[in-house]
Amino acid sequence: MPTIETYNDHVVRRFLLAAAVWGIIGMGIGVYIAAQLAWPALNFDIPWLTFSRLRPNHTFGVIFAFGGSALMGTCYYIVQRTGHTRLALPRLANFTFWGWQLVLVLAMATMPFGITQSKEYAEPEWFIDILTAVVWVSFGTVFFATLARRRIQHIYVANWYYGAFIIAVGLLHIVNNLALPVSLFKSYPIYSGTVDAMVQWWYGHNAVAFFLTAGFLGMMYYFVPRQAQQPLWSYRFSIVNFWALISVYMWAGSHHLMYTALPDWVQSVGMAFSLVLLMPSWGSAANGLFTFNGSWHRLKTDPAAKFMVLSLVFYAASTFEGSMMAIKTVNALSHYTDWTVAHVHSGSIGWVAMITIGSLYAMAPRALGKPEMHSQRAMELHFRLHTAGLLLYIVSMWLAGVTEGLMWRATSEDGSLTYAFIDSLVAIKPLYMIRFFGGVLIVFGMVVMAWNLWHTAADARARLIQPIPVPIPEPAEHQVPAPLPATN
Amino acid sequence: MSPLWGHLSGVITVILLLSFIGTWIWVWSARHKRKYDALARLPMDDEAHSNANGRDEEMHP
Repeated sequence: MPTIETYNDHVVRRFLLAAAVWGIIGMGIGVYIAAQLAWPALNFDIPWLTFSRLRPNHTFGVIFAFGGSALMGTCYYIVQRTGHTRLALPRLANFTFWGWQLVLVLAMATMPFGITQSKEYAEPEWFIDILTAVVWVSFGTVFFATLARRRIQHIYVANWYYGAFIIAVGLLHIVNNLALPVSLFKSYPIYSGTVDAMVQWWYGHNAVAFFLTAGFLGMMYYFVPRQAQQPLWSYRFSIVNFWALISVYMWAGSHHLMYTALPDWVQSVGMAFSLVLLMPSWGSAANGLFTFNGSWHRLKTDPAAKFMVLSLVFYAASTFEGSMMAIKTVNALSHYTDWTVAHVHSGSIGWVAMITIGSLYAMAPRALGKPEMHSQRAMELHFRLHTAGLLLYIVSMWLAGVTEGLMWRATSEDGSLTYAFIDSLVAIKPLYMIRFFGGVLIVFGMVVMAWNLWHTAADARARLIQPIPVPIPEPAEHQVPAPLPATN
Repeated sequence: MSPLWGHLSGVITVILLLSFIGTWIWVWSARHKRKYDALARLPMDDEAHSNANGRDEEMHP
């Protein structure tokens, strides 16, 4: 008899816990700096507490700490389940957990003190970048080594998205962070001027494309059919959308640099590709939503499914909005205003956070050896807090953005500007207060989720749970690949 | 700029369009149907199974 192979959920549980904790930290910092915009005195005149210094900690904390931990945890969970195999290289997988947490702590501990490259979403200095690259390559090695020993011949579509996410983010991170260190805490990028801006936004936009979209689509393509208990609406359509998405996204970054020193034709290329992007974006959103056909009654009783459905609605909405904002004439109004902030948060709080929360609620009981989450009512409360907070946030920022855009470009009959900058700031101050309140609701929801996960994890903490056996088909003799021993 | 660039970008556009249409035709070809139908059900396995049998055997090599 061969030994029974089990899934390695040990590392998955760690990432799950990390995502819950980083979610509260990252979003909590966001609420604090949002409060500073409404009440500036809240920075207490301490330099490292100011909006400018803490804003990278908010973006890094939410994207790479909360999102990154959730992505790596779900990736390890899904690649095992869709390949009917145990995670390869368990020691390296543990290293990716501790290495990634070290990257996050180092970044968050240095950025507020001015140790930064000043590149948006790529602020950490060179020594953290090198560690990030090492951890990322290790993550890819574990993922592809696990795929290599899968027992299901075809690679399930979620793994294609995770694979694209791993390869593209590694490429983007390394190319954008090429720099010459002059001391431990200071380096200079090898690019300069317009080229630097273009490389930065090729990185920045594709961080959205491959980190915040492809990775979370991997999550969606697995957990939506699982939670709906329906087969994926169209597996074929998911393949078309995969190739369309990854071929088009790479070329859209220049829409971040409309009306700048970037050559005009490069701006137009970015605009055109951004419009084409609507097709694969809506394709995946439709595929996820149609998967719920026949299961809509589940929404009454299952808060995880509610999170998933609303996340897909916001994915469709924010990608439509993004394509529109890439049109030069719309961009002329929206750029540099809070409309951009509304757009990015409808994508991140609506799409990314909600698909993550839905997936965590779907995955946690299974990974923690429980039939369901500790409290159904707490999940319901979380859904209401999150949705209310999201709507307050994005509606207030849309209003603020359009107000700013219109006031900034208004001219009097003699051609002078109608309003001073301070006029627009005064006009939107109440909206900044509403945004802060929306953020408070969202963070409170994250605390409710952490409480719920903590109680669901009671058996796991007491080491009472059994690892889940891999479903290995008969005949069990002479398997290829041979079962892995269950050691961590 | 040399007029060759215009021809080159035209050729690339046609190649990309054909590969896009080709992807649709390829994934909709009848020979993939059984495999894709089984794969679309793969995530539903996670909930209750104890051992894989029956419906996904054709996916195993």
